[in-house]
Amino acid sequence: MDRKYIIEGGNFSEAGFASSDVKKLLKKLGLPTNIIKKVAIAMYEAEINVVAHAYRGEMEFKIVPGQIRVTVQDEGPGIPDVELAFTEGFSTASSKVREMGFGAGMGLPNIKRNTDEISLHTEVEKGTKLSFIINFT
Amino acid sequence: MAENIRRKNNKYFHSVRLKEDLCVGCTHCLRTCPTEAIRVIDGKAVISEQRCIDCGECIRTCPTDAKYALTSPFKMIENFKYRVALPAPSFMAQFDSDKISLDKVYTALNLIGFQYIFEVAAAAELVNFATEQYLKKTKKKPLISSACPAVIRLILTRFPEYVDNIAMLEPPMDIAAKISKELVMEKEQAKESEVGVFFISPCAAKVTAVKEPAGKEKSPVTGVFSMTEIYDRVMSVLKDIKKIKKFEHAGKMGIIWGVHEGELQSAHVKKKVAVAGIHNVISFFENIGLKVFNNLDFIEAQACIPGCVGGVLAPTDKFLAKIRLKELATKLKISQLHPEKIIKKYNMDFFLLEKKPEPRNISKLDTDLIKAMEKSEQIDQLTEEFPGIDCGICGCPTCRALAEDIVLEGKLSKFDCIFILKQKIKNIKDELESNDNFKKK
Repeated sequence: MDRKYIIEGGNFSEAGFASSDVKKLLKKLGLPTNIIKKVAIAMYEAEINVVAHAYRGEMEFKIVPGQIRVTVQDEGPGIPDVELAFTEGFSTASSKVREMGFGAGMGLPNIKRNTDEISLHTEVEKGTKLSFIINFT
Repeated sequence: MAENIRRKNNKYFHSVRLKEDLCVGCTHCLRTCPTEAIRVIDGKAVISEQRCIDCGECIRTCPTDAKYALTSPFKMIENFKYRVALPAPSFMAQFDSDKISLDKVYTALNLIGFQYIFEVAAAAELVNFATEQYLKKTKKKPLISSACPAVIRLILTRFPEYVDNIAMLEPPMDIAAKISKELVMEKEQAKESEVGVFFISPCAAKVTAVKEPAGKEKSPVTGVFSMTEIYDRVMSVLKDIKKIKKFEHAGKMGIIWGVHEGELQSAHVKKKVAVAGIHNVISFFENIGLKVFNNLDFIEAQACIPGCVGGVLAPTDKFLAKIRLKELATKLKISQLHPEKIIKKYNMDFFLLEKKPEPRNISKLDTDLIKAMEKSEQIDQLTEEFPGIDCGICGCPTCRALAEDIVLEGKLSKFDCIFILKQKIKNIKDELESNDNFKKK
């Protein structure tokens, strides 16, 4: 089963739509609460990353027995230093974004903490593709 | 009579009932039910046992008064030698205190048969104190207040992921019942079976909370009376009062529990929020991100607007009652109960629920993931076929609900949708006409 979502850069009020939609679906599918929480947190952080940093993005959600796969592809500035981006507390978010309570530098670290596999491909001034997997039994 | 109507699979008790003869099969309750628990079947509103949370929204909206809350019969008090009235904080706002003082109301309660009156507001003050202690100890944040039984049942049915956040604290009604029963037994040297404690309720959900408590085996409350019924009885004996007795009253922090943000005032934590109205509570739980949620310390959530004074069994206009209660609270002092002493007497266990309330998983499509996925896809496809205007003519609250019922229950078909049916008839007609044309040629 899959779902696709379009994410608009700068649209903070809509951020979180994909994760809460998927949360509803996973509840209906009867997944354990702790897995649903992990997916919701990781997807929410990924959505916020696109909203806060990129121009637009597409999020693909897929569930197969035992595994949830999410891919987020965005058109944006890309990430110049990936290692730094995975460091807790590091953020390139603008002061405007920080004023709104985002940009604490916990996005990617938080995604990593809540997922089983994560991969990131980025090209500066083009965009970023983030994929992660959450396993369940 | 209607009270004897038993609904299918009586697994759960519900106070919200239907008088079948009055139900005209309109769709008002269908749309307003926050848990999509109602279907109109053969022209009558049928309530699903599993889904109903007894919030009373359907009672509020029913244009023919076919929905009602089953409360205890008043003559029940005759079975007890000693009778205690437990007025909810909202009861204190039903009368205009300039004309009818609270002491006069309580004197009337004496007259209609209650020898003792124990304000639930007084118990609420104790719960304030217990909550304070609880908040210091618990690691599970945010804490969701356990006071509103409709909200608790909403969480159990629709938001099982938040069950662990519910405060394991007895609501004020139960604390009031336990303490008052003990006091009367001591004072009158009475047996437990001789003392009846009766809650005067603004809502249907409290009836359910007594008949089928969440978090314990048996409720300490003997019976629940409708606030409207007690209001009428009080009003009718006012003229017979010769001397108004003096009563002790709870403090402001207890009384204020009857309105939205009342309980919140006593939760001394940084990040707290109060939500009122069952649909608002749902959208709050549905849309709040986990990050924001986890950052909160305390949540007061009430099914009615603006708090308990807005319950369906409260006779006075809810906004008028809200102002009255607030005014009353400003006149009253801080508690004279010394909750710290009472808590020491009973210890903290007295305030704790016996067991964790159990979630009822109604949203699960199937226990098998593959089957659940198939069903979910079938539901999505069917929903696409329907017009999406949620007219309710099929008897389901939304087009999606019809799709779900078809896939999950198998009792309805897509031709229960009037639009699909109309299209089918048109197709048949067109086909017949083209056959006729063919013959004519």
